[in-house]
Amino acid sequence: MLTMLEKAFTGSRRYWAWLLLLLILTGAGLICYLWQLDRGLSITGLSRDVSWGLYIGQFTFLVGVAASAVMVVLPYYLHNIKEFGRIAIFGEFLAVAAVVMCVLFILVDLGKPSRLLNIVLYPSPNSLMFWDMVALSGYLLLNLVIGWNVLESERNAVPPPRWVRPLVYISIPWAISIHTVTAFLYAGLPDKHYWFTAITAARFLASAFASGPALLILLCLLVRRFTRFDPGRGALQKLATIVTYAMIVNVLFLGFELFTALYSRVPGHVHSFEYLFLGLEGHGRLVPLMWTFVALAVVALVLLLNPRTRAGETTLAAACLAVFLSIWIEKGLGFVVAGFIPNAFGHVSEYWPTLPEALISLGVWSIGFLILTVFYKIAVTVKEEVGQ
Amino acid sequence: MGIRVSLFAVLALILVAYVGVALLGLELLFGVIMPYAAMAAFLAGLVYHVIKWARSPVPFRIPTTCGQQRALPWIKASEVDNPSTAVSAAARVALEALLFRSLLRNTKAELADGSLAYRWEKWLWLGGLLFHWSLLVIVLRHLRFFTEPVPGFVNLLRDLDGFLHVNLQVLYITDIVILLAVTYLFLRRVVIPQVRYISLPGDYFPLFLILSIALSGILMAHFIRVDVVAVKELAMGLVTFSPTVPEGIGAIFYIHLFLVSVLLAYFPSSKLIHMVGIFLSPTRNLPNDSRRRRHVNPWNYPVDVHTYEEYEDEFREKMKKADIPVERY
Repeated sequence: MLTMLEKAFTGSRRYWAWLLLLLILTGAGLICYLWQLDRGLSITGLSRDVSWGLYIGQFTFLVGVAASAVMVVLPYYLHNIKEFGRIAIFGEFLAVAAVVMCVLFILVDLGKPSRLLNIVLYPSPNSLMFWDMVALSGYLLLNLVIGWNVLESERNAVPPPRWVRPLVYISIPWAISIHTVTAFLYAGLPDKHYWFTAITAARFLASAFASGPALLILLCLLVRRFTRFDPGRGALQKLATIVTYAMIVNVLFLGFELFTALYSRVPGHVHSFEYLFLGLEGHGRLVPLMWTFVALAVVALVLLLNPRTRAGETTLAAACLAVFLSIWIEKGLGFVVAGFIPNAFGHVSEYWPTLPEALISLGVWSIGFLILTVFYKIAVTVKEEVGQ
Repeated sequence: MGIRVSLFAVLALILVAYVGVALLGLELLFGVIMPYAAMAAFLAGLVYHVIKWARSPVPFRIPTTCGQQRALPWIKASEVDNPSTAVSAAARVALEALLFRSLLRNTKAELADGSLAYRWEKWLWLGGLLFHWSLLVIVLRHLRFFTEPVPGFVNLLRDLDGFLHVNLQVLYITDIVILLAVTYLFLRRVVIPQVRYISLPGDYFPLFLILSIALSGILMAHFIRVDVVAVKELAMGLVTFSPTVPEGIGAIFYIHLFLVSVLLAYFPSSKLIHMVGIFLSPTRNLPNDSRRRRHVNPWNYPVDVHTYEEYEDEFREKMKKADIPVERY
């Protein structure tokens, strides 16, 4: 009998080709990162004025994806929604891959990564960075341990060890905490008007619970297409409902922000929105992207709110893709950059990622998908065996 | 019992080196003579064992197999788990030596609510793998003391391993990992009753020895500094066979060196010889082709056989008379 890990080492030619592609992309990212280690962050588009960019944006976005595992775990374990039993493991493993990507995005954003250990050696409890480290590493461990043990028990047709259940209950508030702490990294900075608002955390959670489950639906559809395991239509439709509500709330929260900014006409609030959607002082690099975000969000809402298109699998997939991409643009780039514009002197210095920066980011995504693929392969193989 | 004996043995060795160098001034003995003697014992022991093993006849193919043998073309064979050629047997040995593949498959049977469940027993595999790889990296890093100019890959390894800094000092990841891994390997011998029952001084002693070598090395690198230039001078003297004993290297260095010498000398006569033994295990390094090739036992003496044909030739006429069927008339 093969151990569970060995299930990742046997697969079709397509499986290996996919892994090879991911390895090549990872390699390209690694080479660029070695270059960055040599030259420092000067090879990125980051500057004195915009000191967080694509890396931190992707980090923020992925913390959301990781936290969204709770949207499967909570209904299943607290409300006994049976449909989610089949896909809870996929939510947990998605969280594992997402947290690993988060940690890597933080690592590549460090100008002096060799001083990484200082966060543990000189912990400062009044720093949110410290708490983010605690929250993320704890969440990674929780999901890894829970996911692995539940899957192994399912394979052996025995109930999971008794100590797993308390961990599941802990992981639920923990998921909320990782994204709240991430939001506090932004919302506690008084000089950044765009972020300095109590609704940042709420917006993060709303966008997380839309983008994460949307990705999970897409992944489940892929799993069903390429394997003999069917996550079940009921589970996907329940997830679609969650995505719909979360996306509405997400767009509403952005609307609330717009109201406060535009009605009060407090310049600090207005400028960032102006920069994002209209361009400020002749600078408007993000304007096309932000209108793409708007268009995608509208398309997503139309497809999700209409029961017929939400029930149809092709249209649901399109809606989920639209949700995922729109939030990826808004949260993964727009939100972070706009906080730095205009700068403290009222000037605009723009940011745009450079090619090596983009390749490093792609490399991190590849590592994440590598982990995701391996874990999903193990889970699907176990489920195929058990189902037979 | 075994624990105490081993621990005191290692402590005694440390004391011997300290007294020898710090009080009696025997730098030449501990810095030159001991290392040479230990290296000689190490090499002689290895050669002895390899020759002894290589000379034992392996008349039959006795590989352990855990997969489908190569058979009919439409049956999918598992080439790595049941190698049919020398190449796949070599691949299996390589996977075994580099990744401890058979240990990876270790499972633990347990009763869960009355039904038998097999759980993946991963910790020994993980601890063993981390320990061995860390040790390899550390040994390769030490090449910087024995080479001039230092090869590029040694510097690269040093940079990668020393990626993390603490207070502007390099912190080698393998240093931390090896301490944790050896500690785990020791604790599992103490904590798990069955493993403790079968553990002997020969299991504890190498663990303590390696742990104290690692600790003395880390102490030397970070806390009790020694003159590194002088250390390199001594090391280069040893490998170029023109030994010198520079003045003013601290006692901690000689303790480190003496413990390494003891490890080298102890190596061939202990379980540590598995370093070469793994490559010479007939249950691992032979392809499973007994059904395809005839393997003749080399020390078979000629046996006088009486075949059926000869039997029939001898008794053909009598058999015919008795109406016993014959093959040739």
